[in-house]
Amino acid sequence: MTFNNKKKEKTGNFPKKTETSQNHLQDLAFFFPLPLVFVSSGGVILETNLALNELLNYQEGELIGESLEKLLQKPDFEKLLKETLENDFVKNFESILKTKENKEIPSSLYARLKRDEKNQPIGFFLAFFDLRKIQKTQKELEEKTRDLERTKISLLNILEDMEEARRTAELEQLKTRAIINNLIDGILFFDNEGVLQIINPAAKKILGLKEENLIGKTIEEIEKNSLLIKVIQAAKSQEKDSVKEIAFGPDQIFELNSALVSSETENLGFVINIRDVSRERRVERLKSEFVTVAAHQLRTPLSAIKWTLKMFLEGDLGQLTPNQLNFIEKLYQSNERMIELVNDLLNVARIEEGRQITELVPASLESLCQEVIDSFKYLLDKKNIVFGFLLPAEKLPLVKVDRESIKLVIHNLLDNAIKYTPVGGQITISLTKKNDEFLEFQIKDTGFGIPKDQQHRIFSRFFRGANIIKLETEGTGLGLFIVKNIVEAHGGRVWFESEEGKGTTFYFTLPILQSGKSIFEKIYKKLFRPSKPSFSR
Amino acid sequence: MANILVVEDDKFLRELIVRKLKEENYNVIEAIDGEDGLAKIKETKPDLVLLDLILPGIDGFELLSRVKEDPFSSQIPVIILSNLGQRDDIEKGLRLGAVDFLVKAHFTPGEIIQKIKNVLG
Repeated sequence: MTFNNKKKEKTGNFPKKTETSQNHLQDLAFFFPLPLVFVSSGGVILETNLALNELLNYQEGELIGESLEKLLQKPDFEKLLKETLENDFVKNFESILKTKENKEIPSSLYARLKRDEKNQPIGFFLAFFDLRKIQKTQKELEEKTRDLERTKISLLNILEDMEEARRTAELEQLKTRAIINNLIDGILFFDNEGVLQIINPAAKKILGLKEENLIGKTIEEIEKNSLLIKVIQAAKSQEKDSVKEIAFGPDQIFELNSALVSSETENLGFVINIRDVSRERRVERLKSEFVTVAAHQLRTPLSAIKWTLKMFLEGDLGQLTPNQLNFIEKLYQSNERMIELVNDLLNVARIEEGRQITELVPASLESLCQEVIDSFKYLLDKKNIVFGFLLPAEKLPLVKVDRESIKLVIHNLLDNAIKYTPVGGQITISLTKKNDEFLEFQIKDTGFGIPKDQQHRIFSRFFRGANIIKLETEGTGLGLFIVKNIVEAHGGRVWFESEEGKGTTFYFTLPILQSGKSIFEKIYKKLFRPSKPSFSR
Repeated sequence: MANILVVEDDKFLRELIVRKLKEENYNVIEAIDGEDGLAKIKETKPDLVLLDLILPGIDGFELLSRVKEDPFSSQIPVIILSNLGQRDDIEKGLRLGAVDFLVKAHFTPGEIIQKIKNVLG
């Protein structure tokens, strides 16, 4: 409707002009987008604008004459009335507006008291802010804030976890460092670029390195230290899975082990482990020397006995009765066993001194076998054994071996097969190419077999099968120990299958001679620029 | 018949091999150590030397190398008859000029005679 009393108020001084401005104001109020209402000081609605009617769903003029209570809760209505009369002005009065259908609209109210010329209150203007939109925004804001809060908490948690992980990692690193630093073995770690990353006090001591700032230096920068060069060169020539020994002085022997350190995808570098084995080697050498000397000392009387008995047997020392000769023959055989034992002891001593494998040369395993087989022809015939030597159709590749040692291996295995196979039995040796890396030797007999419960001890020193001892067949119990040691020193493997009463098959493998360099040589070549003369020397 | 010098410090072994050689109608000269051996070589210029290696004083290797260095004796064939038998020993002996290397315990007197016969032809 219209703001009648504004019209009345402004009448008087400028009737014409005020008439115009009054209409103007009425129109303005009517179209003003903010809901407005003019209420008498008693709370009766006198005027409303379009925005209010639309907000509360009333027809134009429908609310005129009604009490404000129709729009507001009674307590709010009274409170608002009171505050407005007292303060002339109220703002941000939060309340609930009711629509015609009694729907509630949260709103913020603004009230302004209107007085007449005598300063008597005649009513007040009320303006409403629909808070729903604001509340919605606020709600969203609150939600967003909560989201942010949650994000913040999660972030803090992550940070805390990271901190925790960092502390754990630091602690682990400290532990690892402490372990490495307190190891008796020397440890060196070079990264991919050949830069020294870790060196522990033991390694410094062994290598005689006194400088403090070795970490971060390349091998080239430290190389004036000749012991380190020795170590690197030794590691360079190290075969896969083998331990390299290196001597820094007459009584200073170190065991060297180097390994690549790699993650799943890349090489991180390599670690060298140096262990002082001087004392062990000294003790082993003394023991072996004792065995060697003792064995050699035994040979003189054994030779004297052998020669004497043989001269008796051949009639050089006078004629004996057939019965006496029979005993002398048995004595001679006993003495031969003693000689064999001494030979085996000497071989074991050599193995323990690490002197067994001295010279690796390319060789044909086939011809090594043939040489040994030829030396057993007489025995094989004597025991009437059906012997076979099987070879694959294609030519076998060469192996890199110590010829005498491998012949000893084949000798011992064939000797065993003959000893433990009864007259008329079968022995077959066969060679095959197992894969690109190994040749396999196989010797199968139809002998007594090895009792199941003793099979695990078969490669240990002085082992002899219980069933064999009963048969009184000669043997020292050292043959297979020697076999195992020699084969393994060549990087091969030895094993067997056996069934008591049916026979035994022994197998061993030897690495095929590869045209390329050793694995470590390849790696080092990759790690360090080969142009450096100190590493190609 | 050929003159054979036996250089062997063990009395019993020496007696055994000397007896066997004599039965085979060789002229046998005996030496009990390296020094004695060198002197007997100078003195008798034998047709063959049967040489032990582990000897008191001048050992067999030393004796062998001196014999081979001296033009007077360098043509005399030397067969080593020793307790040693490791590959390095054998290689060393052959390198110094021995015609054969026999490990005592691995040969009977008869086999040793056979080796001597082979060398003397």
